[in-house]
Amino acid sequence: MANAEKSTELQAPETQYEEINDLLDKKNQHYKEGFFTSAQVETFDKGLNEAVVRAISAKKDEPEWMLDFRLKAFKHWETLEEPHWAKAEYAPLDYQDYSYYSAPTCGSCDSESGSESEVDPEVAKAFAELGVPILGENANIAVDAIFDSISVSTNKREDLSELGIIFCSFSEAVQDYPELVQKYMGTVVPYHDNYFAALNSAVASDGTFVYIPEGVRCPIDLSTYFRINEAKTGQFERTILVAEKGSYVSYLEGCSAPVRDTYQLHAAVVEVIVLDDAEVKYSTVQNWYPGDDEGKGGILNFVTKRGICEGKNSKLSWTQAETGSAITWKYPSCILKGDHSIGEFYSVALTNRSQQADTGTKMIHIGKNTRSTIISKGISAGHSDNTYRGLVKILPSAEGARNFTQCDSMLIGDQCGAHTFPYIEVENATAQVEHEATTSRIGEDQLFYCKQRGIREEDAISMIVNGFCKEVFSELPLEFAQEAEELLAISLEGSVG
Amino acid sequence: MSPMAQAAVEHYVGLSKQLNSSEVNADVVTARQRAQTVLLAQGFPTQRDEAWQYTRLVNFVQKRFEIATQRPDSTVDLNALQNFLPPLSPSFEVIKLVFVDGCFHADLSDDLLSLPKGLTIQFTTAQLPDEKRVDSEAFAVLNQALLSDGFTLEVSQNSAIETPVWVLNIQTKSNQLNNLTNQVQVASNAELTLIQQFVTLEGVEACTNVVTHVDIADSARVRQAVLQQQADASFYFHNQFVSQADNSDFNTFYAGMGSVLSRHQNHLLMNGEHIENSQNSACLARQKQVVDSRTDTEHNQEWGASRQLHKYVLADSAVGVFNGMIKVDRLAQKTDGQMDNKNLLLSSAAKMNSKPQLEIYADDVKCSHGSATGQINQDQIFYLQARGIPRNQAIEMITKAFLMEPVETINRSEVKKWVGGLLSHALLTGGYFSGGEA
Repeated sequence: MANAEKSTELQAPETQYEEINDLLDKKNQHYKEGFFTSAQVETFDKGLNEAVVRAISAKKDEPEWMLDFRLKAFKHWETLEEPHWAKAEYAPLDYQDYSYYSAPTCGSCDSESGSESEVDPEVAKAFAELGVPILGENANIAVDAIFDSISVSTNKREDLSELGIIFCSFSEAVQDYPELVQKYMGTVVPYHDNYFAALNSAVASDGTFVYIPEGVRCPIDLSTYFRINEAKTGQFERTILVAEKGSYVSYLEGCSAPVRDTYQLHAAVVEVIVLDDAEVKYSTVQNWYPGDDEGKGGILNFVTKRGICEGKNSKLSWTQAETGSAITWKYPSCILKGDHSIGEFYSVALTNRSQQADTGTKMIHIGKNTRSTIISKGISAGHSDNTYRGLVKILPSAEGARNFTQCDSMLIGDQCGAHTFPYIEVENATAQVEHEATTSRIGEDQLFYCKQRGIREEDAISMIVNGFCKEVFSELPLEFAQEAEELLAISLEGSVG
Repeated sequence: MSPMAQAAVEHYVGLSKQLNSSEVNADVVTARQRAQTVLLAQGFPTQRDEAWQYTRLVNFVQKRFEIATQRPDSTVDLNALQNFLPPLSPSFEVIKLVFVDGCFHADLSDDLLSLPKGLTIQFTTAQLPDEKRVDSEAFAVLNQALLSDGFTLEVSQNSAIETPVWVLNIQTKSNQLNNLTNQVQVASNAELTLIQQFVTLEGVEACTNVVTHVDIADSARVRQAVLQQQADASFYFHNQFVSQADNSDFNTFYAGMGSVLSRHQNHLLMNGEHIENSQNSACLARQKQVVDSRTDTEHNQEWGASRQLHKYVLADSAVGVFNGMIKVDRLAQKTDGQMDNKNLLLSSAAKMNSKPQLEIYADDVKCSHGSATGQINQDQIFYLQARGIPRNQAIEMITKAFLMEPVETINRSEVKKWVGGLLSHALLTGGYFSGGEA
């Protein structure tokens, strides 16, 4: 039913999507999420200074402590230098050339973060086009939809609150649950952690706040969909996820952005806190606009994601499918502090055209008998560079720690690069750490085998690549796994021939 | 740069200027001056430098090593050295070259007039190395600033030198810097076996800084073993710049057994097709030793094959560092690269830092690396104990077997046996097994 609605909307003659059609006709056929929504927006002037930080805070009507946190972070950020150690080439960014706040406004709905009935119709249309069920039409998933700097809708909150689960936008959490936000914000990723974390702390736009109370198993998947719409705006979401003792939650996030010919900045911070016996599954399908064939434009995805397994027997699992972004700089990490805690990282990163991805993870083993698994699959095509960079650190206290790492890279074409930079630091003799990495390509005989059985070359490649990624995709929730497979097929289009 | 490091840089630049004041060769003067400028600008690396993150130079920059002013030094007690040598000497036939405190010692060496046909050895300052490769390494820059001693070894076309060349470097005095610049040139279809051994007299706190350039022409074969057995308080830095041409084969083995801080680096360029090489190491460290071994292998042409196996045994609070990089250029299709690093920690205070890396730009390649760190498997000990072998002995046996694996890659059996003997001696008598009665 939802689909039927969507298609009639799209065929309306006065469609807002002329711009996308133009763009799609010319180039970027590979990026179907590249349309642009012309909702009425309020956007701050370009530039970043203390007044902007104060204005963002005032706009969100934030309490004093939040403003203090922002200002402290901003002061620190000013003292830092932009890091360029990642294996990606780009000119230093002009931070004064971005706008740090942009939010859709519409005459009828004035509130900051609209409830379900108050979403700007244009914004609602955009999410419908993306297939994001913001109106709660899908029974198995609760969605927080974020459009530029603010959360426009969070559904199924009532159902969840009956279980004591808090699922709301970050801005609302600051207002409604200040004690929880204060208790956890900055504990896993302090504002002085790195350049982009400091920037995020200063100008944090919106994000999602999730709190699962003790002993509760969240019955549905929680999800956030991020959309950057305005040109020259940065998105700086801040997500905090707390799983109390014995709880369980599966959280998903997805993202996309319109086709623009300049770099757009996305610098998010995600903090996950997992207490005794709790389990968090955090899945991401990242499909930011990757730039055009010549490498012009695209999203700079500079993200700090980190979780701490604070309690005994806790478990944190990161799964990511990375197909978008011009440049990715992202290392979802686990601090395994609780004894017997488990950290997992499953990643598929695909780069095509002129994309550059430098991604991986950090597993910091502190507690006894902590275990971690890293499975990373990198696929490079076109003129792209795909780098795995990961740290496995076993501290002296981590008796009996165990790590297994497997990094496989696949190259498609001879103009791309695949790199593996693992850092292994072992400070406890009882630990067992294994790392293996391979690089290969799709074998001619594999292709021949498929073609001989009447499978077209493109389909054969898609099949082989999907097989290569299967270990990771099997970790994704069902719909997401399918989406990731489709994305992979689209992103690979035109890379072989 | 810290004031301490700045002072160290100035000290070595001062030594370089001192050397230049009495130098007659204008090229050497220019090379030293150039290196002085680079050294002053770059300084010594700190922990913030990616390549030196795990290998701290704090202890090194606190020292002010001097260079020998008298060459050769007449105060060296030759009789003492004559007595010192025999236990180290290989049991097989070699061409012996002995350097004492950085200076060639003709009395202790073999007669250079009766070298096999096709082999020439000289001690004049060799031709000057490629600046770009040198400048990336602080200790190679330092080496150039103090350029004076070393050997130049040439093997002419189609000459296979059967007898291994054994170069023994002995440090007899504390607080002295032994700065050696070596050139090895092996012409087309020639063959050479080279053994470089670095030792000090007992208790000597010296520093050895070596740069070895190895040029291997097409179809040539070079086998090399580098043995580092300096006293516990000494420092060792060795940069090897190797380049290989079509169809050549290079096999190098490094055994790191001594020094408080040692760093052995291979910078290997594979500038031709069908090149093969094998780089291996076995490193032992205990107490507060830091042992660092790294390789940087660049596959630049098609059909290259590189193999690596690096093993570390670490006891007490020793720190092991392995850093390997295999870079495959866009042109280097059909590359086959394999790099393995395995580490055994014998004590809970020992640390291992491993960074096996791949940087690949060609698609039709087979490259892999593996790294594993852990302690001895209890099941293995139990297996041996169940067969009546005492626990301590079982641990020794397993450790020795672990360490000896890379030794198997040495192709000449007499060299293999000798190096294996030195390593196992160092392991079994070095205090690696507390309370072990073998």
